[in-house]
Amino acid sequence: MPEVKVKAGEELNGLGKMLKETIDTNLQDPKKYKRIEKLKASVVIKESTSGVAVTLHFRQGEIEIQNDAIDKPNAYQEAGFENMAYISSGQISPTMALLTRKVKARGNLLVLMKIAPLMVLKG
Amino acid sequence: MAIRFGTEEWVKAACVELNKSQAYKDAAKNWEGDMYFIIEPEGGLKETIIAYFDLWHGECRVASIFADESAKTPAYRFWAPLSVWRSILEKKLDSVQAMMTGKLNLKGDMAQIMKMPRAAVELVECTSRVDTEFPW
Repeated sequence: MPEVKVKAGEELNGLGKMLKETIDTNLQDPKKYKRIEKLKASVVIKESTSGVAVTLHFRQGEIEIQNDAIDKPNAYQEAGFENMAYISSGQISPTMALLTRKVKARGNLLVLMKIAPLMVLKG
Repeated sequence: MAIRFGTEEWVKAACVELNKSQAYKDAAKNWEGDMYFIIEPEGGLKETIIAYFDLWHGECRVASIFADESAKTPAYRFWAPLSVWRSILEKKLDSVQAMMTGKLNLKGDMAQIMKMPRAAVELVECTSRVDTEFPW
């Protein structure tokens, strides 16, 4: 089963642990995995209240997560904890969150839309 | 008068604060699940403190201290060293920041927490209203 790998030698911050758990759960769904199977991109996700960030590296089927933001990601997404949670729980769609500026985004928005289903937990 | 942190009296006082709070009631109206607050030993505190809260639809039904984690199988576990709990309760450290940085750890059904993020924030807010003494 595919799962997010943690960068060697790192212990993930809390945001990283939450994202890894969410993405790992979603990777069990073959349809969601297929969406990102060929994706090659790096995405920074930042929680704005705390300033804590992680970077996700998508390498054609493999996903690695590391603490902190890298300098030049392909895409960047920033939101407060509550808005992140509302997106994760499916209460706000990622598109609506972008349009209403609940989420700030930069870079390749298509990449963000592609990975969006990996961030949503339905439970 | 300040209540010593991590005692039976303290968790009961926290439970009262939760039941007094309309903000918590509203934020947690669909919340179902009990939890442990696990305070890890540090400095003068030599033993782990396990505070248990049974939270149900915006109400604190039971609060107690247990000597052993196996006493219950709660849906959620929050754990951190004493100094982190102290910083959060004294509002020197924001609870969201503590979670995001990994200083405050959490295990449980993330889907429910993500549905009601305000409930977690209000929970901490209420417990921080207890006049607390840290003797260690």
